[in-house]
Order: sequence, then C-alpha cells, then structure tokens
Amino acid sequence: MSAAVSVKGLTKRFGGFTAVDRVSFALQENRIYGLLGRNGAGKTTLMHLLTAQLFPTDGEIRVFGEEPYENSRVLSRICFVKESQKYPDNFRVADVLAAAGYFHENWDREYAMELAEQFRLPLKRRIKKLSRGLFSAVGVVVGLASRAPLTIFDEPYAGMDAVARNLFYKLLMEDFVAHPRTILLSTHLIDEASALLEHVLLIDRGRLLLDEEADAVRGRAYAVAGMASKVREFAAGRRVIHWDAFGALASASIIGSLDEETKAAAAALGLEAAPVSLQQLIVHLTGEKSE
Amino acid sequence: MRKTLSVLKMHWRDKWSWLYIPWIICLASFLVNVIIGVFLPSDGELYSGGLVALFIYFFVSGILTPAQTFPFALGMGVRRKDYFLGTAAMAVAFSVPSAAVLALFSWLEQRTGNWGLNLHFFHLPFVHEGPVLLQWLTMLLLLLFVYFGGLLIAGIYRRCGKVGLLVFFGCLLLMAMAVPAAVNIWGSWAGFGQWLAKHVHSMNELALPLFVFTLIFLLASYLLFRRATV
Amino acid sequence: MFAMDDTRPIFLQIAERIEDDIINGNLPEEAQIPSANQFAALYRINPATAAKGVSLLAEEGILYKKRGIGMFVKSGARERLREKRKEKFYSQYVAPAIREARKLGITADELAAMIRKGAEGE
Repeated sequence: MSAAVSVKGLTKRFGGFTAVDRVSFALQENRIYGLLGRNGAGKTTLMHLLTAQLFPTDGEIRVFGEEPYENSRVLSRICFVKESQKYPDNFRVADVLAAAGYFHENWDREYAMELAEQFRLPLKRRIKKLSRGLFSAVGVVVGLASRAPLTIFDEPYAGMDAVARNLFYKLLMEDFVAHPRTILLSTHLIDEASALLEHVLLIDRGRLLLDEEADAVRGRAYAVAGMASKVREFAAGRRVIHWDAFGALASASIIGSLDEETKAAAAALGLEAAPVSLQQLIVHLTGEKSE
Repeated sequence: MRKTLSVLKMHWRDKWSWLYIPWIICLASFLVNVIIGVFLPSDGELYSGGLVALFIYFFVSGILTPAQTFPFALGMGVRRKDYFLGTAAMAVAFSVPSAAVLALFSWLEQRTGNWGLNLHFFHLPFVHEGPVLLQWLTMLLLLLFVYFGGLLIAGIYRRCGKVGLLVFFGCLLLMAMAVPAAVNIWGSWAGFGQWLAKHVHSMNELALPLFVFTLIFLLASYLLFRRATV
Repeated sequence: MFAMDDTRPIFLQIAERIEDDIINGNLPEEAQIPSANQFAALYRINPATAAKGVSLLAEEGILYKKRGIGMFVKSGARERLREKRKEKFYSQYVAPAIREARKLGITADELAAMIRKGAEGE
C-alpha cells in the first residue's frame, strides 16, 4: 500500500518558537491514525501544514505523492475538520452542508442529511447561533459525509456531550468499514478513542515521540506500588519512566512486559503490580519535566 | 473552472450580503431623500450624495468578504487561486447588473424630470454624463474599483497583519501629503484646477485610470492571498 | 460494557474471546465465526485490529478460511485450546494461590484439602 501522507524533517517555527520540530512519518492508506499529545504540543500546527494552510519553515510534505500547496488534485481529496473552523456569519447549517458539497468530490448528500438528523442539527439555524456541541456536530457531519480519501479530524468533538461523542465514534467506525479511507484523528481524550486507533503518533513539544501500532504500545509498561524502599529495590536496573512518592509509599512505572516472572518478583517484595494503559503511558511520556 | 464556479456558488448562498443588503441600503437612502424632497420643498435643485452609500457598502464588502469566507474556503480545501478567481468573478457578476440598474435609474431620473421633486440622486452632474451605456460602464468600473480596493486591504491584513496595514496607510498618507508638493509643479492650486477642468469633464475620463488601478489591486491582492495563512 | 482493556493489545483480547467461546462450546467446531467487522462493531474497535486477532488464530491453526464465505473453527481446535490453557493454568492460577497461601501461613496440605473440598463440593 502506498503512503497517503509522507512527511520528512518537517519543521515550523513562529519567530523564536518551534511548533513542529523535524518531524518525519508516513501514513498508509485506509487506516485510522491517532495524533496524540497535550494541548499546544503541535498537533494542530502539523495538521495545518499537511493541508497547506500553513507553510513549513523546513522539510518536505507529500500527500498522495504530491505537494499539497495550491494543488487541487490533492486538496480536493482532503477534508479537514477543525476545532475552530470559521464560517461566514450569515451561513445557516444548510448552507455549510451545501458548500461542502460543492468542494468535496465524494460528497454524499443523503448521508449528510441522515447524519444531521442523528445529531439533531437544525438545518435552518445560523451557525453562529449554535451551541458548542452542535457547532462541532456540523464539522463532524461534514467530515464524515465528505468521504474524502484523507479525512483529518482535529479534536472534532469540543463541547459535545458523551452521547454525541459515542455517536461520532460509532458512525466513524461504520462508515470507515463501508467506505475505507485514511483518517487522522487528533484527540486528547485518549481513553475514549483509543480502541478505534490502529496506529498512534505522539507529539510532544513539536517532536514525534511515538510512531507505532496502538497494540504495540498497549502493555508496553507496567506499574508497581508499595513501600518506597521496596519499590526502589524492585526498580533497580529497570527502565523507570515515572516515579510517584507519597512519604513512605511510592509507585513506579516501568517499561517492560508484566509476565509471570515479573509478577512473581513484585509479589515477592510485597508490591502490587498492574499493567499501564495506553492513556497512562502517554501521560507519563508527556508529563515529565524536560531533562 | 469548476472550482471557481464552486466558490461562486458558495458566495451566492449568502444572498443577504451580496444582493439584499446593498440594495436595501440604496433604496433606504433614496427614500429618505424622496421624503426630504416631498416635505421640504426648496426652490433650487436637491443634490443628494446618498448614492455614495452603495459604493461605501461595496468597499466595506471587499474588506469583509475574505474575513468571512477565506478561512472557510481554505478549511474546505479550496486553493487560494480558485478562491481568488471565484471571489473576483462574483464581484464582477454583481457589479455588472448593479451598474446597469444604476444606469437605468439614472436614465429614469432624467426622464421623469428628477422624480418631480427636483431630486438628483441617481443622476449627478460630473458623475453621470454622456450616453446611458457609457454611464453603465463608468459605474461598473467604479464599483469594481472600490470593491477590489477593499479586497486589497483585506489581502494586506491577511498577509502582513496589522503592521502591514499600518505601513500601507502610512504610505497612502505620505502620498496624500505629496499632492501639495506636486501642485507646486503646476505653479498653484488655480493652475492645477485649470488643468483638471481642461482634462477631466466627467467621471468617464477617470474611468480608465480607475480601471488601471483596479487591475493593480487585483494583481496585488492575488499575490498577497497566495501566501496568506489562516 | 464490553469495553476492551486498554492495557493489553486489543487483537490479543479478541483472539482470547474467540478462544473462550470455542472452549465453552459457544462456537462448535466447523461453525462459522462472526466476521472481523462484526467484532469491530460490537466491541467498538478498529476492524483492522479485529482482523488481526482473527488471523492470529488462523495462523495458530485454530481457525481456517473458506474463500468467499468466512472463517470457521477447525476441528480439534477445542482440544488444542484446552491443552494450551492447561499449560498456563499453573502459572496463572495455581502459583498465585500458592504464594498467597504461603503469605497467610496456610500449609501445602491445608491448601490441597481446600482444593479437594471445593472441587468436589461444586
């Protein structure tokens, strides 16, 4: 399978601030990728670079094998749903959906109408007057109904309640199965979306920390907790990525698999051992102070 | 071509901004003047500058259209070039019939003896001279001039930010101050006035330089939008 | 609900659930298993991940593919899975019980008696 997106040494600087720092990765076709990271890590900047809405300071971007800048062959096959999309003041929901239809080749109007109903979107109301959750729903409907070969969602569910978010995940999965395409979903709600992701990219302070299959990252680390002295003893010689101390008690997160041998070793020292979830691992990787 | 058309269609969905509001403004301005004409009879002719409202609206429109639609269009994956061409096409598509309406009303005003009220609204001396067709052309060029002037300002803001805008107006101010200096070349204001009177009989003569400026605005705007980011 | 455990590879969890169904008889031999997409929809996971779990079992000889129809349980799969689980049984269940018993001061004989009583009683 050819790469839908290929990025090499991509860098973006705003004056003295480096938002994206020599990032390189490739996205294969027809997979769901998660772009994870804290607020301000560079996710949004990266997505704007991929869609030629921002210009790189350095590095190379190829989407569907070509440079996206001013390239209608590429741009018409991308749909980018932003958290903070601006709409013309006078546009109603129906106008946005119609406009989306003009610009996206694979637009499915019937499907868009079905989705609008599921999200309870008032077609005749002005976009300006929608609640935050409904506002986001408009973006989600556009993103799904565009059926664009590369669909990028940037935290698309700001303000959406849990019911609407679950609806989004469900619809995304169903449509992805029926109409496979390359999806890049950026989110900081990792635990919710995690099961949908086939592959994760973790960005922190502009750098790419992880670029792996999601399943490869699950179960990569475990945590032990108990008396601080015992934890220290256990952790000696192991790769500790996180350490919490509460007086005489402590817990450590360690890279490694929690096999029977390790469990026994922990039990022998009277420590509790448990695997670390994908979300927790990412929190540990991005929460540490800089070295 | 198809992309440009799509941008046009996008603009056309906002009929309020492009069609209803400018003409409501124009109509309102006209009605106000009619009411004045009816209730305040004067011996002389009533010359109204109310038509300027329409041109100011188009100028502001040129500034605001990109603010409203450029981020949206870029977000929808539209090329900057297609956005620009589509927006320019929309402006032309509206200016042509608008200018025709203005020319028509100018002709009507003359035919009805200034609406029976001695009201000069659509047909002003200097501005509306010559055959109706020529008036239509002049009005068209004037509308395009103000619209693309607005678009240029929007482009400067998009590309160069507030600083760029300040620099631009600073330069304009400098040029304005250079006029008195230029006048000295003609010897005096009176001399300048005489030169003007000799060469410029109506807005029609200004049409060509306006058109040249409009083209410059268009080109400059395009170059600015090409490197604009959202 | 049927939430997947985010601390272990999901494709393994899918494989395990299918294995469980085979062992307890819900999926008899030569029966067709649900498609990867169905698993994905039910458990709200990525279909590629579900497919990976299924193909893992195919590689291990637990399932086989009938072209154009789907995946089926291979004969002998139940026995083979039982053997596999029996091997893991000691380290997963017995060893922890022994450790815990030692901690509490329960002797090996007491533990054996407990097991016998419990196994016969239920």
